Amino acid sequence: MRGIATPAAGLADVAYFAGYPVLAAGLVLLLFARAGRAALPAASDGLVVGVIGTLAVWHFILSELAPGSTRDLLVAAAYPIADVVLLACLAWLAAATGTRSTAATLIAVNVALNAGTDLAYAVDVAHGGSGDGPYLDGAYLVAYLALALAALHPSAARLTARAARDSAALSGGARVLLLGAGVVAAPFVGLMSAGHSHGAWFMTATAGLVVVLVARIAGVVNEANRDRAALADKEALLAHRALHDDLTSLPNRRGLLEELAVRLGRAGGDPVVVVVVAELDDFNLVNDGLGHATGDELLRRVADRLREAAREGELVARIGGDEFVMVTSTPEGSADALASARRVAATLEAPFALSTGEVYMGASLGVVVSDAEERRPAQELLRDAGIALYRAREGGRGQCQVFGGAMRQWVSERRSLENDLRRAIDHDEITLAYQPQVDLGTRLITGVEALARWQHPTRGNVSPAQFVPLAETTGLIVPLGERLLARACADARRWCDAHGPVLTVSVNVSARQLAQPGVVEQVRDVIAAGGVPPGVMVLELTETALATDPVRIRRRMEALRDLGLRIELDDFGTGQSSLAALRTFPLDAVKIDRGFMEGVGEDTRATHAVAAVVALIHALGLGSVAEGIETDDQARSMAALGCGRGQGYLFGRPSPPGVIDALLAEDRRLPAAPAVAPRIP
Amino acid sequence: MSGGKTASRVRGGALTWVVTAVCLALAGVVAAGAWPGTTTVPIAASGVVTGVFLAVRAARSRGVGRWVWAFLAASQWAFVAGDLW
Repeated sequence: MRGIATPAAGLADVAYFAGYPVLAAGLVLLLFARAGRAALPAASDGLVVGVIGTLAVWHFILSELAPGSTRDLLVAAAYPIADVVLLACLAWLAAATGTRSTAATLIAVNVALNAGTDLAYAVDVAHGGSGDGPYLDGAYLVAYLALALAALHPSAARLTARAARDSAALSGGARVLLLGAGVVAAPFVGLMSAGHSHGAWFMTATAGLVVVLVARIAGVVNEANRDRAALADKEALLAHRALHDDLTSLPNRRGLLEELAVRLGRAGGDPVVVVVVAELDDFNLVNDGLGHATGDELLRRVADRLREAAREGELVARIGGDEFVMVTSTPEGSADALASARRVAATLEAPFALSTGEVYMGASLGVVVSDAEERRPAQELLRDAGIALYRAREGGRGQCQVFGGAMRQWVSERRSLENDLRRAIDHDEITLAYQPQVDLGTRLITGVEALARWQHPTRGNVSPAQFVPLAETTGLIVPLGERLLARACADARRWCDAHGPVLTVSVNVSARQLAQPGVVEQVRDVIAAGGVPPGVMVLELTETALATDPVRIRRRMEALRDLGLRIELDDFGTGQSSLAALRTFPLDAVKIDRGFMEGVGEDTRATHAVAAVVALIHALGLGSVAEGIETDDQARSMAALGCGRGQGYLFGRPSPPGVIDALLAEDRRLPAAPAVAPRIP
Repeated sequence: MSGGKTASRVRGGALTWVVTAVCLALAGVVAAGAWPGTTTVPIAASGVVTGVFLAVRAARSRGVGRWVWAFLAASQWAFVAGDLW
């Protein structure tokens, strides 16, 4: 003790001392609110500051004070010690949560300034100064200002919001600085203890500091190890994700290519590698009609089945939306390749029980075989399998094709046609031809069916049998259907204006169009824009359009009928010819497929068969239309069987709208003899 | 309503700048030793203003936040009391 007198304690000190623990309590509360349990490990950082600060206060301040009254000495010691406690709390707060919040930073500034100014005051007094320097008062003022601003700042509203550990904790550099300061301070304090009157205490404190530092360093090392392990886990997860599909956990395209490349390059492996690419038929109908969640569920089920069906050594992957791949190595050639494809097809044949109901889902398959003599890169194999798949899809649902050299040329031409079709739709090059429908009793024309026609500038007349399936496959049927419906509405409106509503105008709607969300609104807008009276426009649907998600499709059909549209079932007899469909769906009429017309009026069995169909249709209260009538005998026989309307070359081929104009301008009667009793052989 | 909220933010922003400017000016005068008379007056006045802001913030906050601001406010009022004693 050097003998500097301690300042006398007063009542003001009671008020000041009340403030310190309350402030410390606020800081600790803030600390736990922001960091939660993560605050506990950081306590050692605060402890390091506390121990060093206490020893420094002891050495530089308390040792300098002369012994006065115990009360005065306690008061003189309490201020700097309380300041050290506050600074320790501040270090703890910073270590646990960082200072990313402006309000928290301003609070820290207040505490640091208050404590720092107190300590400067104490040092000044301990060394004989008056402690009343104006700069100290200025510092107290700025400390108040910092806290006032903390309360005013917008971030104050989120002060106690939980801080994200990774972003908020003390940075590595700051932590090293803190621990470094502790490491440097420890021997320094030890040296100070030499010859000091309280040397034993100093040494004990130094030992305590070292223990805390070692514990903290061990904690930091542990933390780093945990972080490294977490990083390794993340890296492994990322690597897995890069090569696998999230939805099904199967290898993705990249994973497949890597594995395929290994198999193709492996010496001594099986000489033949077979790649089967499977694409689900009409998956879009499920996805669009039943929603993406159901689509995802279906994909997971497909993946599960393929995984179960795969034999040892076979690889299953998902390389795109609804495209799956099975790779197998066989000792033989293409016979085994087809066996693999058949196995994949059989796997997907059974219905899938999904949460929204049962779904049938076949697949089209493309197969490519790579043998030892002709090893090709994995990428090339997959491309060729895709070409074979493309070719298979052109053949219809559930088809399988093995890749052959000529396919490349075919695919190239197909792609070229697809590009042309896209451009033709954009430039309205696809036009409509109308085929008459007549009342079989009176032979008066009562309606027309709109049929798409494409006159290509260089290819000439492209058959609908060529471009309509292509439009279906590529999804172009949706914009094409919308444009053709608008055009048909415009023609219907013109005929109505000129002759009254004497004709119905039928337009074909594909399964894909009907499954499209918003199809009802789209049709409503087109009809409204065309200004066609109710009952004139007819939509023709095929059985395929009714097969997927019947409940939703029925609701849509009802909504379309509410718009004043009639709905007819097209090509009845070519598909499943489901009686349930006739009974369940809101139909106005059924068009009997042209296949039934063969032999009508000449062959007993054929006539009886079609008679039964007509009777069934009528029994259900529906209208009937006979398609493909080419002879007068067929027309008279169908009329005698009670079939209401007929359509076919006998009454007229698909013709430009002008031909229908001319027909309407005359007496609407088509040149054929009136019906007589059927000739049933 | 968003209009009211915006107006409130503008008022809050202006208040922040006024408080900052006044307190910094005061601190400058005090630190330069140019304040006429005892410095207890500006220091205690700043403490009162700070205590009021903290109390208002505590009243507007919820949950743990209210307690944190209340503790901070209480500590500052204690310091102001010490200043005035």
